[in-house]
Amino acid sequence: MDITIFRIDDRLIHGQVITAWIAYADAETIIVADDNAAGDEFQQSLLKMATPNSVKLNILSIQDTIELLKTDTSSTRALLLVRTPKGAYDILDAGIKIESINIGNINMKKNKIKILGNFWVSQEDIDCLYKISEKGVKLEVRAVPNERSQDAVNLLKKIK
Amino acid sequence: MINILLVTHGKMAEGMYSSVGMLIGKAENFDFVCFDKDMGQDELKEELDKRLADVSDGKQYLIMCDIKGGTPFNVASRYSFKNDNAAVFYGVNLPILIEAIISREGKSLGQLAEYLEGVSGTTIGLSEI
Repeated sequence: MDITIFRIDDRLIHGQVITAWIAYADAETIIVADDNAAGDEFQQSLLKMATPNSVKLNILSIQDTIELLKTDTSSTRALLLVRTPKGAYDILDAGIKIESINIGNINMKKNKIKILGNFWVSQEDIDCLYKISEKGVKLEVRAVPNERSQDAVNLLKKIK
Repeated sequence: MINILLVTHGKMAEGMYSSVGMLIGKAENFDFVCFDKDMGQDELKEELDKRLADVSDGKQYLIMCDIKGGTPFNVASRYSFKNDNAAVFYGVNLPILIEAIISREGKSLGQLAEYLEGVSGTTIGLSEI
């Protein structure tokens, strides 16, 4: 499996992903790595419906995603989506290698701090993003591919 | 009469709502929600909850969204999931929206949805002139 884009987006598959990121990632398959979606019939039918017919869809738990990425030796180009920084960290911590992670939307929720309109963080998010960065992985905030990307760690430093 | 709720990315819904008024005047049981750039999915859900609190056999809703798989569509689909009193239509444009408003009288939600799907293809095309 060749992960061409690894994205953190709490909306998983939605307008920005369908209209821009699938093409940008030149993705043959989308992997949604989310424990919640992997066990929820409604979310699965929605994700299937949202995925263009030209792209294959895998909805897996974080653990099953790790297994797949460790065992799949094909060169299939994949767009990997997780909902939270914690999900991204768990995948990296299991030994999956990636150079860069895109942060699309981590939205407003209670007790979160606003960094950008589409980037709100809880303490857990902050901790996980720093741990990801310590692994040498670049974290760039960008909702759509043709937007200017911003370094997430630089943005986080401003709040500390 | 079936209620129509228009939900789109950005101000499109507000703009279409105003265009409908320009073309056919004020329509009853017709409302809109804009999913703005800085809004989260949860906030959109709160807005829809307010407007869709009373979905029932006697109060059916056609929710019209822009892009299949977009957040307005995804959030709206929660209301039509295993509920025959709400339906989600995607790919909304001005002619199909007006068609929905003027043709809903006397139709059940299922009939209206099927009718709109049938005529939707005639609402876009290339002028022969």
